[in-house]
Amino acid sequence: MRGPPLQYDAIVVGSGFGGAVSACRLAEGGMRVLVLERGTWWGAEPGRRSFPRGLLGVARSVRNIRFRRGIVHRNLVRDPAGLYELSLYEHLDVVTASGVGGGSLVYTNVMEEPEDEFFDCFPQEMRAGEMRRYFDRVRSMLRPAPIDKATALPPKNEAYVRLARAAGREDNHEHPDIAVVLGDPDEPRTVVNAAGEVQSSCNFCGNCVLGCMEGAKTTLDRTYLPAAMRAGAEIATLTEVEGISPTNTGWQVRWFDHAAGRRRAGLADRVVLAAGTLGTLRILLRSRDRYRTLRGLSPRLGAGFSGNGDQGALMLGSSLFFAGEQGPSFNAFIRTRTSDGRHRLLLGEAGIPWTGLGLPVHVARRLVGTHMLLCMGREEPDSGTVTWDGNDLSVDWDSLGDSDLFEEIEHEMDILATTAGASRLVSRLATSPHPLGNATVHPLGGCGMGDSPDTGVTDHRGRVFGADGLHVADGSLYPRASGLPPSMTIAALAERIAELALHS
Amino acid sequence: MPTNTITAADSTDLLGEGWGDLEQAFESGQEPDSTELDGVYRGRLISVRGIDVLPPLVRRVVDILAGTPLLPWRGKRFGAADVGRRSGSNVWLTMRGPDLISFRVSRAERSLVLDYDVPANPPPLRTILGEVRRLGPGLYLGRMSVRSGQRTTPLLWFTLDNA
Repeated sequence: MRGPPLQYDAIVVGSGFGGAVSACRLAEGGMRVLVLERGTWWGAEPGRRSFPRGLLGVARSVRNIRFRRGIVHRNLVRDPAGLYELSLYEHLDVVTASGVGGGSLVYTNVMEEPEDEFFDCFPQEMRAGEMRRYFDRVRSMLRPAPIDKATALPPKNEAYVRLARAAGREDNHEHPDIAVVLGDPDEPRTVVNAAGEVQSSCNFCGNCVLGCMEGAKTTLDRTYLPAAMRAGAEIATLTEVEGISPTNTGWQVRWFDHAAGRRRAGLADRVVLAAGTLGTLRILLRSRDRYRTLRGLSPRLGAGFSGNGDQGALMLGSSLFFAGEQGPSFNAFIRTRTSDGRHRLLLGEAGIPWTGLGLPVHVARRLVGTHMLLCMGREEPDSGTVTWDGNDLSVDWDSLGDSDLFEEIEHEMDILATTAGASRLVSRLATSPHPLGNATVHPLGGCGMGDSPDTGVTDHRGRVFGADGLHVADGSLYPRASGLPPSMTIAALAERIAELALHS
Repeated sequence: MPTNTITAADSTDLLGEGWGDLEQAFESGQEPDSTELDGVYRGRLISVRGIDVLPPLVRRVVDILAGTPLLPWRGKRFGAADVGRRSGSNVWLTMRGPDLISFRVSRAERSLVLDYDVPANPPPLRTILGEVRRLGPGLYLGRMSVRSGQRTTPLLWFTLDNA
C-alpha cells in the first residue's frame, strides 16, 4: 500500500471558527492533530493565493455552484481552490467560504455574544455563566473591539447614526465588536497579535467580504491556526472529506485530495467535524445514507436547520448615505427586541466593496446612493430540514417557517429606505423566484445539541449520540437561530468542546 | 493510538500489491454492517492467484486491462438491505447492464459472505464463495475462493466502491 498509515489522535475537518479553535486547543493539549481543509491559503504573503479583486476576479473565485432546484441537480465545480461556494436550493441560496480560515476570510468581522437567555435552548449543562470564560478565551485571541473606540470613525458610520436618528431608531443603534486591527486609516501601523503574528491596521478600504489583503482582519489563519501549527498540528489543504466510518479503535476518514487527484484515508481516535453547517451535514448524511457506515444516529439529524433569519436588501438612490471612504463592513446596526426584551433582529448597512469590485468610473458614478442592507433575525426553531437525496443535500426551508420575522424585517428595511430617501428597495436579494425564497450567509443547525438523542444530535460536549469519538464543532450545533453573527459563539462552543475532550 | 493498518482509500491503492499485503489489508478491514451494502457498487479486479509470479511488466499490463472494457465485469448489485434474506448479483458490461450470476448474502465472522451456491447458477460457479470487508467509507475489499470438499482456495481479490 502507498505510504505509511496516516494515524492521528484527532482529525479535524474544516478550519473555520469551529475547526481552527478545535485544532489549536487539541494540539496544545498534546494531541497529534491533522486538519483537513478543502480550500487553500489566501492572502498577500508569498505562497498564498491573492484574494479576488475586480468583477472578473470575484467571478473566478467561485469554487462551485450546487444547483438543486426542480429536476435540475448539478454540482458545477469551477475551481476546487476557489473562495466562495454557492448552494442554490429550492427556496434558499447559501453563500459560504472555502479556504484555510474558513468563514473568517470573508465574514464581516462582527464578534457578537448572544444574550444569556439564548443558552436556555442548549443542554442543561451549558448556561450563559459557564460559557463566559470560553467567550473570554476567544476575545483574548481575536481581540475584538467596537469601531467607535478607535481613533477614527468612518463617515459612513456617522451617516448611519444620522439615518437611525431620522428613522426614530437612534436608541437602538449599536457599534458591535469587530475583529479588525483598528487605527488611523491614513497612517496604518503594524501590531503583533495574540498569536505572535504581525498584522497591519485597517485602511478602511471596505473590501472585508472579498478578503483583506492588508492583513488587518484578525482571521483564523493569523491566530488560532498558526498557534495550532506551532503546537504540532498539520494542515492539509485541498482535501475534501467524503465520508467517515468507525474502526475497531477509532475512526477512518476518507477524503479526496484535489492537488494529487486521488483519494486518501487517515485514522484517528477521534474526529471533529467542523466543516461548516452544510459541510458537516453532508459528511454525516452521506456516511449514514450512502456509505451506511454511521448507524444509530439521532433522528434529529438535519432537523432544526435555519438561515439565521438572514435577509439582504439593496437600497437604490438613497441620498443620506456618505458614498466615499467605507471602513470595515457592517460595523453599525439597529437592533429591535421582543416585548419581553429579548433580541429580535439586527439591521445594518453591509458595505458593498466598491473599490475591490473595481467598477468602471461611469458605472460607479451611477451607483452612488446604492447600499446593501443586511439583516439577521431570531428565526423560530425547526423552520428547516436538511436531508440526503441520494446524491447531495436537499434543503427544505422557506420563509413561511417564520413569516412574522420576515415581515418584520421587511418593515424595518422599508422604514430605513424611506427615511434614506431611496428611490427603490430590493428587499430580498435571492436567486429563487419563489416569493418565499431567501438567501443566507449563516446556515445554522441540523446537528443541534440536546439532552438526549430525542432532542438533539450531539450532547453538550459536542459528542455525536451513538458514535463514540465523533464530535461536531461548528454552526450546525445551534439548536435554534440566534439572529446574530454566529462566529463568536461557534468559536466559544469549540473552545468548550475541546477543553472537555481533553479532560474526558 | 489505533493499531489498524488500513491505508487504502481507493481501489487503485491496492493495484499491484502482493497477495500477502492484500491479506493484511483484508485482516485489518471492518465487518460491514448487515444493512451496509445496498444497491450497485463499482467493482475492480485487484489480483488473481498466480499473477504475482509473472514479470512486473506483465502484471502491470494485466492491471491496466482489468480497468478497461476488456473485462466486462462492472461490479455487484446488492438487494435491499432491510429485507430478511438478502441476495445479489454481478453486473456486466455497464453499471446498468445485465445482472448475471447471483449470490446469497449472509454474515460470518467479521465478513459479509457472498455464497454462489444458488440453483440459478451453473454447477461450477456454485463452488464460489466470496467474503467482503470494509476498508473505509464506501470502499470494500473482497476475496473470492473456490470450495472443494472441506478446502477453500482463494482465487482472486476485488474491490467494491460507491464513492
